[in-house]
Amino acid sequence: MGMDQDRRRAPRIPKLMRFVLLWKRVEEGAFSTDASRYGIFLRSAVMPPVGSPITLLVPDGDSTDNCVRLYGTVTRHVRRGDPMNPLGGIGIELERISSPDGVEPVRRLLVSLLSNTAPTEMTNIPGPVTVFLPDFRVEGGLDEETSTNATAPVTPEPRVEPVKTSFTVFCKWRNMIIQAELCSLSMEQTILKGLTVRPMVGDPVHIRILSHQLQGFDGTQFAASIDQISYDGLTDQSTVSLALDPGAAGIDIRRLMDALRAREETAPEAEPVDTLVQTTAEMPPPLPDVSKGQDDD
Amino acid sequence: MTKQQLAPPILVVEDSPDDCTIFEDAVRMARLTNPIRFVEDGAEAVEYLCGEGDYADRSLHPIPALIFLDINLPKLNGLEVLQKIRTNPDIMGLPVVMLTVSNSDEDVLRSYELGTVVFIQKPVTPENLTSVIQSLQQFEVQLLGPPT
Repeated sequence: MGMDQDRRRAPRIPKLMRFVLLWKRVEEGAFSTDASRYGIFLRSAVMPPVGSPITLLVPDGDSTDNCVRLYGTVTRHVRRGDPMNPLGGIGIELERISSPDGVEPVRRLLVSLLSNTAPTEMTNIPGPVTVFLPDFRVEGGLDEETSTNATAPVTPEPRVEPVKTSFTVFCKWRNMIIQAELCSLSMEQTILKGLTVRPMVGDPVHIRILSHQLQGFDGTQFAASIDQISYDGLTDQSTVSLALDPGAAGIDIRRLMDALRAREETAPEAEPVDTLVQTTAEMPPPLPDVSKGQDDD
Repeated sequence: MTKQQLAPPILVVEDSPDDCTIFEDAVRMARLTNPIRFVEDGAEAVEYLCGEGDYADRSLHPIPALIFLDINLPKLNGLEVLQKIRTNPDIMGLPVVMLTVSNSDEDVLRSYELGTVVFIQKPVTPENLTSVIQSLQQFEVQLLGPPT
């Protein structure tokens, strides 16, 4: 409750507006559900991890050429079923808006988004402009590379290539422990194959690394949230893409990536990832002995 | 004949009466019409599934659509029952959901090696069992919703 109040520094105006969300190389349609001078809440099939810088294009009809652009950062994910946002989505803190055609298109956008809380006057500078939020300060030029509050240009972290691997893990979703094959891990995303149930998009999960599988990570688990699911009707199995927030995962993701990369380099005989199909639904080979003392359970 | 009469049962192999009640609640919450059959130990589960002894009449004791199988059972443990299911050609394809309080990687791995559909950690509640049933329904396990 307190957090919500803190977050809502300005009134939220319900507003359904169409955008194109750009994140890394992804381009996806999105709709706003509400907005304020500090941020905007979006529904989109793509949910970049918290902390990701994103860009929103305001399409003019079907065209996004020379359109108004909003720049911001993903600040939260909201799961489907949330009382305030039943359809779920992402909260974005806005930093600036740029327009190649002067202030007027930005002013029209703000009036449309914020209704009577939009600024009535903004310095009229001809040509390309950038309007910084939340104070609506206007500067000439598009200034697409500079953050609002940074005194020095922000240098983006060098991109770390995902690790391709084939690695049995347990995915804990609700009270289920689901065996899966971790086949890709990056700082923002991991992909699991071979799940025998279909979890819900938006749900949190924990990925546990089994004992004796990866030196230094025995029984380690990390947190993620389900981003996308695809289902293979032939194998009755799901592949899930999980969004990772390196700051909230609970472990050092980069160290895990390094360990996986080292493992792959020392296991050249491993099958290529593309040929791997988890076969838990198939008839397993007989085990020598499954007798267990009942005290074990 | 009604849809309810056609629905194959869900077999719950569980020796805790409290958990049996939770299963009944979960199936009701998931709006399934499949009847639930309970058996209390591993040996009785094998008898039921193989149609032997008291369970010889398949019209009274049909093959289930889904089995919930506790690992910790009297007589035969759940993993032994699962192995018997997987080596009997008549029932080897039945979907089995394993249940346990254990958190050991070994139990979970062994269950998956034997072809369990999913592994559930106890305690079970109607809410989390409903999640399991709903996620399995998406995989077209033969569970039936209310009659239309």
